[in-house]
Amino acid sequence: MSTSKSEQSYTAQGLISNPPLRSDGRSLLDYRPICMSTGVYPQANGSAKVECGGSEVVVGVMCEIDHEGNEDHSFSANGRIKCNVLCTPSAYPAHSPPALDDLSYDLSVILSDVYSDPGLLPSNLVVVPGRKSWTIHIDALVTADGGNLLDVLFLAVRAALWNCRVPSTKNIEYKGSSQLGNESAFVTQHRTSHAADFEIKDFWEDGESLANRETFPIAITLNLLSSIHFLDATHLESMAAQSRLIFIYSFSQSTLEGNPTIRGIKYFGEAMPLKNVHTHMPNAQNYARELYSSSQMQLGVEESSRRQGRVAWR
Amino acid sequence: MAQITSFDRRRVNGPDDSFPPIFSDEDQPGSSSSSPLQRESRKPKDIRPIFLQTGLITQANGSAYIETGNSKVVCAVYGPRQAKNTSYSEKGKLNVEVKFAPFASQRRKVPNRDAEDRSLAVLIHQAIVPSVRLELFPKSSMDVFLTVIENDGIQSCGTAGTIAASAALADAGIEMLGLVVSCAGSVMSNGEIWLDPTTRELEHSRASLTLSCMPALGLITNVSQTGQVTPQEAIQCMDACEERCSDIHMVVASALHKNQSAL
Repeated sequence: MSTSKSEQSYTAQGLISNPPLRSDGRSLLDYRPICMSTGVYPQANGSAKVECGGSEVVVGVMCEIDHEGNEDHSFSANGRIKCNVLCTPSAYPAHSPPALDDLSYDLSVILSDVYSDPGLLPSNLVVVPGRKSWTIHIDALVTADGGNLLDVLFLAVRAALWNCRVPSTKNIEYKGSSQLGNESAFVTQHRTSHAADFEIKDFWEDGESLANRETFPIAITLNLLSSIHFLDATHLESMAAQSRLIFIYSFSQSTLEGNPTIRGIKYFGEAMPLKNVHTHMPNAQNYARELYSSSQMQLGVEESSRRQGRVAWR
Repeated sequence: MAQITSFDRRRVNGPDDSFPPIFSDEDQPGSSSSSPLQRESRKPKDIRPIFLQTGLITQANGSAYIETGNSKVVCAVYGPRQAKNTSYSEKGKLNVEVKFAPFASQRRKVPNRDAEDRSLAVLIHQAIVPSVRLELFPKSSMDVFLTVIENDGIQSCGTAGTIAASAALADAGIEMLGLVVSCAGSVMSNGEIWLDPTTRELEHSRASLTLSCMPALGLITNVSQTGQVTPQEAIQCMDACEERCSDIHMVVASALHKNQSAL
């Protein structure tokens, strides 16, 4: 979407005036209402849909078995997380197909850079130790972009991973017996050290949730304009801002009071003094913490209502 | 075994796959026991020596070659010239393209398929674009082509690429607000900060950060971090990088001066 110079300066004037004026009446630090729902696609292991203003991202998480000696020799015994973002032409009618591919690729790289860190890998992805593990494929689809896409994207991915259930497996082992034909030569055991293969447990529950899932990160985009900064920019507002500073934070129960972990910093826009980064870091931390707690609350509500639904169904 | 689609039986066909050899005295990547807690041959806040020369590619408007340790990057700048597409643009357009030589990394990069690195190009583009006075070049475009000849630490390819691109733009006589230099740092597993990490050192790092700035103006143009750090470590790393950038700025300035006086 292209904007004229006068539109941009009009928006910028409103933002830097005292008191600040935004076209939708929000204050500088307000988010547009966020609508989050999980478990929207039953065929995926985890899924979520997040809407914030005009931005909408749907994410599906699929678990796939990866084995030693796979085609591209990229097997990791502890499992892997792979990310892919697809921007739909309906979200960007003005973009040409190559431009859309570049945009999708850039967003995929930002997401992969964060999620490929071994520190974020859940511990329960090992299936057969050293031989087989789960690869988690995160596929995000941007169906509408009304600004502030990165925050919404990270929120949606986090919600889908929170919702994700890894199928529970039991390992099986082959034991050669001297008296053949006596009984089955296959011995099934859980978490055996000599396991040869595995089978999916036939269980009414769809599996276990990812370990340390509360550490999955939250992104906060600070839009900087002269001496002010504002959150959740619409398309027009992001064009009026001079630069965007993005912090990606990871929280856990133990760090909720103290300092969270930074998982990524990105910057786009005009040049600025380094001390701006230093001064904005504590602010971003507070906004991210608020977003984390409110999203956590919503995820908790979603999960408990699903559990109740299941009990009623039984 | 993958099916070979275009099989030419008149030639000697090599195997589908190839792997770099593993030497027995090399420590295995990922083994924590061999984690070097002490840096070999330089101090934690030292960077590898930089060799920079401008004006090597005669047919380009500006060019630069940079070598930091084993990382080697060539950069050529063409333009400003008329933009190919007919639509009017008030500001000039700066295109950055980064390509890897097939032999640049441990594993061979297939030409045309995975030789191009868009994420590195985006990083370098953001680093140099605030310094170029694009408002002076309406309706025109500038092309910056970077080729990585040898890669020793992906971060150092980004930093060397940024320095080379800025030096080549200066060599091309394109108006800029200041020279952009860049420095990378990594936070090691023991919390120490090592600047300008090599590939071997990156295997033992917890996070890495790249900072690009214009030391003459005291402004930063790009900051990018991956991995996990505490806010204090991030600040320490950024400060260390910025401090080292003023030294790199001297190297770039003297290289440009030397080239100018040689003419």
